[in-house]
Amino acid sequence: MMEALAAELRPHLGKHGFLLRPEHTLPYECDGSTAYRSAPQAVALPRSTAEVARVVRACAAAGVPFTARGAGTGLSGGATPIEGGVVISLAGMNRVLEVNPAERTARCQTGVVNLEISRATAPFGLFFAPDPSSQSACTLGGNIAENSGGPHCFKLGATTSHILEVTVVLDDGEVVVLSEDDAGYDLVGLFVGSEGTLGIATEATVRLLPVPETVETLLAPFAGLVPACEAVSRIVAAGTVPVAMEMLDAATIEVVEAGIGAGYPKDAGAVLLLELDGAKPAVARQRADVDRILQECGALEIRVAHDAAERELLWRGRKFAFGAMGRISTDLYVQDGVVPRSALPEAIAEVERIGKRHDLRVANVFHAGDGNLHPCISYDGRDPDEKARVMAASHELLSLCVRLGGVLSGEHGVGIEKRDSLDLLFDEDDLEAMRRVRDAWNRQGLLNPGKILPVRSGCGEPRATLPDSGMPGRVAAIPGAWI
Amino acid sequence: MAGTSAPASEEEVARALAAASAAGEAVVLRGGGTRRGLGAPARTDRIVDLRGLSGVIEHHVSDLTVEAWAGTTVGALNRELLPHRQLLALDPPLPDRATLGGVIAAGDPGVRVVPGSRPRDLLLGLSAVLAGGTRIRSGGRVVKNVTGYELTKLFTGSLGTLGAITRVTLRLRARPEASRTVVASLPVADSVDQSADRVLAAAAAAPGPAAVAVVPPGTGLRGLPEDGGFRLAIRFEGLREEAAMSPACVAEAAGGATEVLEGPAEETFWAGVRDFPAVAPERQGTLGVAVHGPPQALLRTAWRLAAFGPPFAFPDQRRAIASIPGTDFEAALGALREEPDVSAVVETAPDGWKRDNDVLHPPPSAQVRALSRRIKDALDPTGILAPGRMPF
Repeated sequence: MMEALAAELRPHLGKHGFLLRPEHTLPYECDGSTAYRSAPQAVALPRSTAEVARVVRACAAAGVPFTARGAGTGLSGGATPIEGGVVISLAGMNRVLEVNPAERTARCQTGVVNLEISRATAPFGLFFAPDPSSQSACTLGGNIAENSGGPHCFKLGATTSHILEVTVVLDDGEVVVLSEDDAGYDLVGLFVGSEGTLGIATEATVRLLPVPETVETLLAPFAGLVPACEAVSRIVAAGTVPVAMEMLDAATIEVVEAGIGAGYPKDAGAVLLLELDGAKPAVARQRADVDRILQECGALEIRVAHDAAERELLWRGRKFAFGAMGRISTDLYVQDGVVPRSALPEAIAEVERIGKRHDLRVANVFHAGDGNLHPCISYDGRDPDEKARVMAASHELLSLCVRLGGVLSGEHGVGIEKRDSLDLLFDEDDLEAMRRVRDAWNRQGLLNPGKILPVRSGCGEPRATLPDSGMPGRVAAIPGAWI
Repeated sequence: MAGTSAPASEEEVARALAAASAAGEAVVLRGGGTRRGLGAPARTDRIVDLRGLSGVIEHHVSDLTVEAWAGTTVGALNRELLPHRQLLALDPPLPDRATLGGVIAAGDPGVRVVPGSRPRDLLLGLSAVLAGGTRIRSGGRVVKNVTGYELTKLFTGSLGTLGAITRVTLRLRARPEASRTVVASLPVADSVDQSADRVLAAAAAAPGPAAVAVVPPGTGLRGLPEDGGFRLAIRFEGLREEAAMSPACVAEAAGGATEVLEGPAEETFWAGVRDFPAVAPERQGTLGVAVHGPPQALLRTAWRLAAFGPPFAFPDQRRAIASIPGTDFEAALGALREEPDVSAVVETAPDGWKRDNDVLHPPPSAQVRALSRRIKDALDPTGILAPGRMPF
């Protein structure tokens, strides 16, 4: 089967554009959540929309599943070809095609690295807002698939707010341009965040924002998370919209300081990293309001970054927190649940209780402004008993988020990891509506199968089981893993 | 003559839609009726009026979110939020008639800047009843959510063709401390391209504007002297310091005289801009046309359309609206064709006009048509919800 595909596609993709040998396809067996591994039978490396379409047409005709892949930094198994087949890597389609400064847009191939868009548009005083912590590696296509967020999406919105137009290769290899300017259903809104199950994005026109006149980055240590969360709620209620509000607990501070040395106070129970941006007079006023609230809520001090280097250092602790955790354990499991902002103190207290009950080390680092938790459990994957406890704790954590009025995922996506937990949030009628919409665009079920929706049992498909070899959401515990 | 149902609960909506499905009746859903002209004509055997589902279900004050029944009007909700100094930043035409469900189904972007203030940005979750009476939920009540397919986005702008929205959860914001609008006259002697450049330069120079509108002459809007020229209005709201920043940079970029509107004069002015799409079609024989496209082409189009009727342009929304006499429509279409990057939708028209004329110019691509059709069939397989209204 694959040899026939190779024979058909290599004349177009080149000899090295369609890989079959196991040593070439193995690197594509998983994304950032390494627990799920499933090597594809082949990897296609197209260089244009037309070549992607050609690969898709060939797969569709042969009945072979296919899964698009950007940089593979995702954390829910979205790019993992769980049912085998062909991985279509967009890594070779990595160009910013056109920047239009007057209209504040950029047209890009979707394999472009997120940060490269802002690099290309910086000379015009513009930037691309979505900033997942992996932005120096992750691709625009991956951001579109997962509707990626990042610290700054609290003020600026997730990826869906920044995509004007997207070129999509559909399940049968047809190419369509979806545009926000089109009348009718919001097909761009449906497509962004559909995790590669409705089509493959090959080009996109993104909205750019002007680089703010000034930025202020503050670090406020607190005795504990509860008063720090209270400060966050009060800042938002007062009408101040910081561009980011990130929280790290004592366990995370300890790890960060041991690993990176960002200068966070080691004796604090929590630190709040807060950024304001905009025009100078507005930022000055916001700063005054924020300082007052932080002090009233018991901030131990307010540290301000005086220059770009200091700002970089304060952010470095946050952005590399997960990588630093690689120092203290062999494996790390990160969740992505969201709770209403007002429920953060209760959620954090309960996370701690769940950790203690299962005798696990849990560190918290989260996007406080939008209630997006990232409890991180360090464990040793070679210890079956500890793994079982992590499993049990993870299910309790997801249930907790739902019980407090939240959801399972804020920015990492459902992928394989959370698909069988979706019924915590949605009933069968809700899921059936989603399934029908998916099947309307993914008619043969070949587009990135096994993602987002629970795999139905009793229809000839086995209900998914977790692999023995790992954990859902397990992150490669190496410096440079991002959340 | 179509019968009308007025359910007072979610259960009654489900029963009404199940009964209509069983009887094969085509159902048109209605809220306040302010944008009922949108879309192509739908076969209508029964109108289901959703205004009986009204009121706030829960206001999560410190989360700045609210859950409300879809028949609640935007105006009523905002009055209820006032004591909490909070605001739903949707500004559809006629907010005391426009219902939350209706604004979402219409996808009406209002006049504020995007992203951030469109129904799709503010809608966090919804409950809906599908054609057969099945009740579904989508989204949630948190501000960041990638759990499952975004059916909330699909319902936004769906014109009641996918299901009846019964309740919604919306993101709120703190009421701005201050507001101010700078209105600059655009030099009459400028060419169209010069004017477009000025508008974009001024909008770019304005730090964090809350709304940007190009206002045509001849609208009769209160608060502006009538001198035959276009104006650029930029609203600043937020902290006092933000509202105070504006005039100089706008004046310099716009190149003409400026005036500042505050207080009731400012409110009256924006209410006039806001209500225009709903009020203008009531003028005898005019077509309400919305144009979408990249800002420069859009602004050029707006100037072209000024020959026929007053066009408002919202460049950051990539949208313009104009009221064009039906007799001039062919000529106006000719003007639109000279800007290939823009597309137009006839939103409102005199009775019967849409039976004989297309609503979308140019028509959508065959693929967009097919994809939309498949979504409609997936969620409304018997096709009883406003059949024909989505122009596909």
